[in-house]
Amino acid sequence: MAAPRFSIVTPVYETPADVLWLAIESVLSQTFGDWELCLVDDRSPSARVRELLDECAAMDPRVRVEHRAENGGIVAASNTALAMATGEFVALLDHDDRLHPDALALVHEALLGDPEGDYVYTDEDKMTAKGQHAGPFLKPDWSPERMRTQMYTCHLSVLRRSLVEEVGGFDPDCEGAQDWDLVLKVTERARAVLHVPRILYHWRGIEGSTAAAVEEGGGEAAKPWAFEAGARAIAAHCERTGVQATVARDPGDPGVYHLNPALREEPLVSIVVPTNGQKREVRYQQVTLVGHCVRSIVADSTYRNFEIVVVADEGTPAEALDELEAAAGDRLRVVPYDRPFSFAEKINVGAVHSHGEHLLLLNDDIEVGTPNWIERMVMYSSLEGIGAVGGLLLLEDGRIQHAGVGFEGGLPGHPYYGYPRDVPGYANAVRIARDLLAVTGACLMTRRDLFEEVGGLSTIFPVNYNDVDYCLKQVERDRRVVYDPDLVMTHFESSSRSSDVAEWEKAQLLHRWVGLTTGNRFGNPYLKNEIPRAASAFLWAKRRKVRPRKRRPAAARA
Amino acid sequence: MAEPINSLDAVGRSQAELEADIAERDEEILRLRDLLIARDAELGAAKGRLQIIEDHSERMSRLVAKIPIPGLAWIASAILRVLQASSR
Repeated sequence: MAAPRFSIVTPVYETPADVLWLAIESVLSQTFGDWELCLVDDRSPSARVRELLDECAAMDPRVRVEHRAENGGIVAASNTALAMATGEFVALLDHDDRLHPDALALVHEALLGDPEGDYVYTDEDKMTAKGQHAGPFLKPDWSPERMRTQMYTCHLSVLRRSLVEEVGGFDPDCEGAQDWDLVLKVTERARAVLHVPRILYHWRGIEGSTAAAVEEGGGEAAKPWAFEAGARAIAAHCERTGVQATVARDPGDPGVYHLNPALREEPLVSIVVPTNGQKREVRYQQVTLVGHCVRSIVADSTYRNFEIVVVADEGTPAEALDELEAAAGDRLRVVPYDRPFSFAEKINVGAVHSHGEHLLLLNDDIEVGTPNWIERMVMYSSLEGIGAVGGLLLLEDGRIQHAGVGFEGGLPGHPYYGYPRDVPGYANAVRIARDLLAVTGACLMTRRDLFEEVGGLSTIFPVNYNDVDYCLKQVERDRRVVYDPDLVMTHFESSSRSSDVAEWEKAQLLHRWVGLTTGNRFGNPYLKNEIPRAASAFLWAKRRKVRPRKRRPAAARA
Repeated sequence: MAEPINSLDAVGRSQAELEADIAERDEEILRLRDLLIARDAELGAAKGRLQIIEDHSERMSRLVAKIPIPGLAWIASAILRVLQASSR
């Protein structure tokens, strides 16, 4: 018999019979038939579980069952199920969850579209104890940075079996976060990672399950060891992939992790600050913005190897420049700029006069809020495949000014603008690191060679959108743009320039990038401004065709 | 509360006394400034929460405006409930 396309692996332990049957039935009802279901009973005390599994195996030859001689835990049972699998791909299904009837069909279609796909994941929702659908999790396309701070791909995960075997299957050292660890290992070697933006997995929240705990806003109490295992899995991944970081758990949310830089060396960073020496009131004190900015860099940064290149307009007052000299001393280089205002050109001129391996574009109305902000940016910027890095910018009163740039109708905007600092965002979007199409140029790091490769900032956008355009130029070259939530700066916005965007600027941006920005791959078709559209409430019901249900076995009926 | 400074205050006082007075007033200015900054942060948090509510309400209003027939929203939610029940 030829190997099936999919092997669904499901370790089973003491599952309520009706719930277990619904999980199995969701596989039997798949509209795509080339699968096998590998069920492994981890020596459940209840005879009913064993009976039900045997009955299901008798019902359909594609259902294969193995009873373990002794209880070994989730990892041992999952590895037993993996050993049974003969399919080209392995799909992970928990014993109390359900697949959407079209799950395998749509994953199969995605794989036909890109035969190099080695890992496929889909969107998911949760089912309450009463079976009602709630909490749709509408995910972005593959985001390696997000995967290091949140197990966002979660369910449904489908992995190429040869790769799963290559990495040794589920790791007992990561019990509780074994699937996260496995996905990290597989994606490190995957040729392509595919996302099917449809809810194809229903995560059931029965007592004691992680889904139920997450829904209640906790999670820690249900499986505390799982979250520790998550930290170990990320740390091991960082070690393997050369991410110079340590891992910390979020004090408020057990499903969120933070990377802290642990750089082995400090390459020279050139901080390029365009200015006209403007004065304004900052926290009830009249200051020269650029002076305030440079003082905060020098006083509050823990990184030592940096230079500051200030590109100053002709009219910049001499006392402002003296103030800079006094604050930064030898680190400072002032480059005069005598042409009509162009933020893009000023940055480009500053870059030409700098020597750093990394360029850090900084508005003069920024104040350092995180002492290791430069280390954080270098941690990401040094990684292969990353084109730009940005952070969380706050307004003077602590509200969010920038937590990444989003796109609606092809035009950029700041989701969560004006929201309180502690707002988590959709699926913790504000709190986790993630890949985006763009970050603001008010505080952006990029590698010099990448900056030069794309010709710096485009001067056809002298005032607005030059930063977005720059990021999109990097994305076009298959590089990632990262938002780091732990890099927090204050942005005394609207001091740097007028916030009005001209129609010609919008038209120009659309003309140039509409292909990349509409259908933003780091958004989701069912999200608008990072909020689920009303239609997403019905997504679980969307089907290609309806199949009659299988008859419920006797063991599940009692 | 600190008394207003008046040029006559300086008459007949020593340099040291004046310097101490200035230091005291500077400290008071810093204290009041910190107080204002803290209040701004509180106000910012409240403004942020207000904005969330306003955005939510605006979205709801837009959604309601899209449903021209009275009671359609109720019918839609009833259909959703029936669908959910039948899928269990």
